[in-house]
Amino acid sequence: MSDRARILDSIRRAPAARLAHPGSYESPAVSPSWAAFAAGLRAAGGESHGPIARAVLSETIASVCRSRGDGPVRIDPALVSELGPGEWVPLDLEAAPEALADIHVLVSRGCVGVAENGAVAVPIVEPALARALFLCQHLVLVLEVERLEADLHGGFARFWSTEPAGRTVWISGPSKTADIEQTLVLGAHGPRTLAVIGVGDRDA
Amino acid sequence: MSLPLDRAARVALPTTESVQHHETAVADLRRRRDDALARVPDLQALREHAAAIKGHTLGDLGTYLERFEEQARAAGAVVHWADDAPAHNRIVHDLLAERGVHRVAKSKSMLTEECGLNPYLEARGIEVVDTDLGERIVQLEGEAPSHIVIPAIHRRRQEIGALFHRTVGSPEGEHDPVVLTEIARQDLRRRFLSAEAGITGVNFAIAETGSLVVCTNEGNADLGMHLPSIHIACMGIEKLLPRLEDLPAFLRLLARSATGQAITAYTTVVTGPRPGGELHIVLVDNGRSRLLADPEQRGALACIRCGACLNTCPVYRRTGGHAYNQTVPGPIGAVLAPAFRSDREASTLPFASTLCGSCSAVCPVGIDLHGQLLAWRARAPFGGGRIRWVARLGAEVLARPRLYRLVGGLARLAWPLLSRRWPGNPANAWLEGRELPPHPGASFRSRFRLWSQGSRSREGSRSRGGSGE
Ligand code: SF4
Repeated sequence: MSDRARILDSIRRAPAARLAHPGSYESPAVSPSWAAFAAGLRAAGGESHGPIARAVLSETIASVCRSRGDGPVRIDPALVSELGPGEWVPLDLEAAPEALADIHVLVSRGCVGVAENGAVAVPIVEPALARALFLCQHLVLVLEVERLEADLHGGFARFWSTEPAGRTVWISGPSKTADIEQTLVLGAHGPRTLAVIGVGDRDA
Repeated sequence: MSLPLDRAARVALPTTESVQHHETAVADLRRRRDDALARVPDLQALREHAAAIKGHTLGDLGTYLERFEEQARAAGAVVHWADDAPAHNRIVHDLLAERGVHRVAKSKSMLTEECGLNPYLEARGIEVVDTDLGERIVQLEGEAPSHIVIPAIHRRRQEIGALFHRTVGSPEGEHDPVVLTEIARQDLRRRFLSAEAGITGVNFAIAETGSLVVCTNEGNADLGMHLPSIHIACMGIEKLLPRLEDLPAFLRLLARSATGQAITAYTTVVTGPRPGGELHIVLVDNGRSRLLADPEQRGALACIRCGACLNTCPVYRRTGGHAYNQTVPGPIGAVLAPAFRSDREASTLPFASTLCGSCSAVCPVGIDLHGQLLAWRARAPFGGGRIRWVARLGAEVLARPRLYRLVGGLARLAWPLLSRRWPGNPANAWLEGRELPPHPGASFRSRFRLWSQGSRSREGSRSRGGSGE
């Protein structure tokens, strides 16, 4: 008998305690606000900018990148076309991991944001983007304010209504650890800072 | 009476300072958990919802496992099944050996600790680097994690500084957590970039889509998953959830219960391998299906390993995790031990509890931990042992009022003797950390009798006085 058959057989022989699935979760009705998202992000060690008008997105990104000091800045290729003229260097999707580790600031796009915890969903279908998200020293995410949900239930429903299950990371703040005497240190393995720039005019 | 845990605790946390350090650190986690959950308006509904999903999934686990396997395969993953720890270790080793892998970056996984994967691979010439900072610390120290969320919670910064000086060449005397973390970052980055395979644990798995969910704060699991072309994910069969839609309830509870964060920094959902890569999923039983067949104890399979029951437990706080001598310590560890281990020591762990119920009260998925500990006690295999003998004697005495009075009188006579330490005093273990209160002089019954006589005579004089008015 294979391990698979043995495991499934002993599970099926266990006395059944069939309980109904509780169905969908009904969250308390709260409308998402940028202020709540910014607070959630701050609590997670990140910083928010905006919401800003689309017309000033390029200069806001440039200013946030400058504030992170000198070093190579790379932009998610999917975002470059939206940024207008500028010296934007797109992320090389063929780059070797060693080259990605030299990225000082990476700018990418978030798909959905969650106000209660400051989390932003980033699809990571491209292997180079997935690596760069964790190898860069500083990360900047651009998020349409209209794509904000109050809680994680709403965030998940919104995100997966349009995206396949695929590969996705929900990012809340920079990489961190408190493994040495509970002292919070930002930048354990991944980005040392995270900035989220809100674009659009919704707020409450 | 001293349990094996008592004795092990003296080694795990040998000094008063180490106990105090551990207790403060763990209590701080409990306080952060309380603060975070107090801000969740729908907390109770959320806990009930999560518990109901787990209860439902465990009731139909076979169907969900098959569905998960089917979906994961459809997405391009290879699914392996391991009945026990040796099978798990063999599968992982074969996968690595067949591909000529010599260097592995591993992120935190209690399952691989449970299976003893690191020593198994190292004995076969494969270098395994634990990449979670806490796990790296205990790996360099050559010890096991003492907490399921903060593996090196028992270590102080000076000890870690000295360890890093010995092992990774940090400056002598350096023990600033920021500097030590930076040193670990630089060292591990190099190792990530040269790793040929990544091994990760799994926090949740989704039957509907065949997806894996991995939660970390450091981003180390992601580097292990996305850098090398081979990703091996090891998971217990109880990690399943039916649908992606079920996941948010657990994510909202997990980090808040663990460290007081609203969510971990990274929650990664992976369905199938990345383009050009391989994803292997090892589904491990190792005693879980046996636990599932035990109606009194199966609830423990709902555990999401948040660590909240450890952080609140007065016994764990004082003993430290190593005293439990197994991968998962604390109340949930004491519940799992007799199910997963057959040695006598494991069956004593359910006695290492005050049964205060704080563990059950904080558990985000509503596991009746202290009820399960009590149920294990009733089944303890030491029939003629001292614990059962004392319990029987106690029951006999309590059932006979006269005998009770006699024993009470004798105990009062023996009190001065019992309250001092001397060789052979059965109260020695108790007296080590405490003092007995002063002797009350008389029994509760006689004091109560005196009090009620007095109150009757006071009543009488009041009513006599009243009639004279
Ligand atoms: S038993 Fe409950 S409180 Fe303890 S680790 Fe598991 S989920 Fe957390």
